[in-house]
Amino acid sequence: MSSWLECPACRQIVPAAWNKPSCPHCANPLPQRRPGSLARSAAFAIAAAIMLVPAYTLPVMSIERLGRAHADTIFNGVWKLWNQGMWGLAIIVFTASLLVPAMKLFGLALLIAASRWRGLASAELLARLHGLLHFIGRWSMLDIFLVAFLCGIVRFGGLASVGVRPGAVAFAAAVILTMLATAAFDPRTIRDAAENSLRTPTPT
Amino acid sequence: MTGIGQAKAPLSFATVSRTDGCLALSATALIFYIAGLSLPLAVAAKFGEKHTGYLFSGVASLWESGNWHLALLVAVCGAAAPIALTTSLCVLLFAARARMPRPGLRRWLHLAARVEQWSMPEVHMLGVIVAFTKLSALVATDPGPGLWCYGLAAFFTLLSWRNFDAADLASVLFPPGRKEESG
Amino acid sequence: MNAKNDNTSRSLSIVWLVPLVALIASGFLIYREFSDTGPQIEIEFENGSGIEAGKTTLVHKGVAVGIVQEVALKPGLDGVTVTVELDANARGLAVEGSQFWLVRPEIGFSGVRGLDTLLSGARLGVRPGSGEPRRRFEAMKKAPPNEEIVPGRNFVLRSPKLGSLLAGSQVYYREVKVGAVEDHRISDDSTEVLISIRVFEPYDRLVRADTKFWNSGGISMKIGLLGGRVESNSLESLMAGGVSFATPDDAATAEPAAEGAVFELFDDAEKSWLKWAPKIPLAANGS
Repeated sequence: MSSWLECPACRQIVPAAWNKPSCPHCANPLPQRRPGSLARSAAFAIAAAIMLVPAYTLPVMSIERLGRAHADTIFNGVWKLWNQGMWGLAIIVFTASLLVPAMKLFGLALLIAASRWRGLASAELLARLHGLLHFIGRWSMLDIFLVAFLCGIVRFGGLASVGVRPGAVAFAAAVILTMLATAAFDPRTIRDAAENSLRTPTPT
Repeated sequence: MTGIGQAKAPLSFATVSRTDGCLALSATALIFYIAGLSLPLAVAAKFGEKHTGYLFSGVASLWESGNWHLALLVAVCGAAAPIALTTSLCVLLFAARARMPRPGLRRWLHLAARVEQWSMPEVHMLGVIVAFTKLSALVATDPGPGLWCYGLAAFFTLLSWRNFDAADLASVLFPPGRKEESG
Repeated sequence: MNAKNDNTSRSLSIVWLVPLVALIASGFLIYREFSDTGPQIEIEFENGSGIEAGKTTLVHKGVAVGIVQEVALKPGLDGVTVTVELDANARGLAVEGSQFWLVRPEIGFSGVRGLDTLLSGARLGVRPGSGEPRRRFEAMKKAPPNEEIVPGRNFVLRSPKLGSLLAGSQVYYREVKVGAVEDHRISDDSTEVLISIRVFEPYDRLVRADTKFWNSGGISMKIGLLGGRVESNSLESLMAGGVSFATPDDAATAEPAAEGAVFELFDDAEKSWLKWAPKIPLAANGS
């Protein structure tokens, strides 16, 4: 489930992103490709895309003030921040909650496609892309942490309180699924794809 | 290994080894996590009634309201994973520094590898800061000492992870008998 | 051995200052945090509704001085024990004689009180006592009419019935408000009602051992052979009930009644009482 490989001989941990054919310490060959990683990655990615639908359409957070509750979706939240003049915050939340997940899904789609259909893009680029996805993946959790924090501190009884709505759960699920999808994707498949497209095709 | 003659300079920059530095950073992160979790993150006041929020206040209120999945997620990504990560680093680096290779140490390395992608205190920090700013429009909010400590913990976690050289460490702790230089 | 990892110099490298500073700073902050909290006290309430652990605060003179930690049923299931953690600077509240109560919104003829609790939820109020430190308290059933400590004295009135007296009903002397009813309960042998009143300074010295108290609220109607007569005090006492008292003329020689002294509450005043006019100086250097 992680992008670390374990050398079967000396049990050394080697990051998959290093793309080393053999263990740097005992020179044993590292396992070339985890079976089914592409399918797993695709499955997670599709599930994530599905979860994003309720995540964006359902409200994520409700603020209750003086007995009146008002629920906001992610879009609403960003819009309100913008209207209140907090442009920086609006941009941050927009990026983290809307741009990043979209980019991740798009990037994943690209990676998976490139692994199936060789020659779509250079191996170098794709490896970089994978690393990038791995890095930015976590930032889409921003909104979840935001809601959790507000929930914990705004508890003034009837005066003001914050509640979590189903949209947040869907969003959290989507984020986790994208992270799992990125992790399940074995970057070695990119290299395989690139190499195989250079040699005469041999049945694998 | 006893001190060699040039132990004249008690504090020196030049002899900072990577292991030392990384261990110091990890230890610092761990200390600040403990402080950040036990000190209040923020104090919100309205109509003379004040409410003190801790890191786990959010988790607790999520749990109580039935959202145990979200509570677990925040607890893991915000606290459990980073603490597991820094603890693993501390254990490993300390063992490397003290030159005490033990077979059980491999588990710590595996733990660090598994847990690293779920450790996101910096995202948590940003989320809290954004929430803070949004909150001060609603109620009078004061940042608490816990916030600063947690922020520093996140910062030092990042630093120590960047400086962590798994391959190097493994060569010290788990020498297979024949070593090769690795990148 | 790989020289890169060799710590040849056993001298401390400067990098260890970082965790050291972290340790000191964190230790200091944590110490400061936990020394800010004061003692824990336990208050017994009949009913815990509205009291929430971690949320309900104890407020004194408009400032939050403590917070409820826990609300638990008493072992006998006949009430709840509320554990409150006081702020460090409020530890003077945990003493003999301190009175605690639950503030709820009340709209009565003594005024409107505690309305903010409608919005913020219930809170606890306190009137500090003085004396030995104490940890367990029994809550008052109702908030005293004046949450500020108004100097004065408390007395107890005995009566066969409550007579439409509420907490906050006024106490009158010569139809002037000089105090208020605070609380009431049925006596231990269930034969009468005990009513606690507070008479404010400087009027408390008007109460002597032979002072007579009567229920002057509501409307009393005397329909007799010579016609009817409707009497009532102010409109307020008409609605909220009230107690009046009068002191015999020879009061100048009697001592002011002690705190907590018990009197009988009569239904009505005898005519002679209304004529009493003792000279009792109210100024500070009076008797």
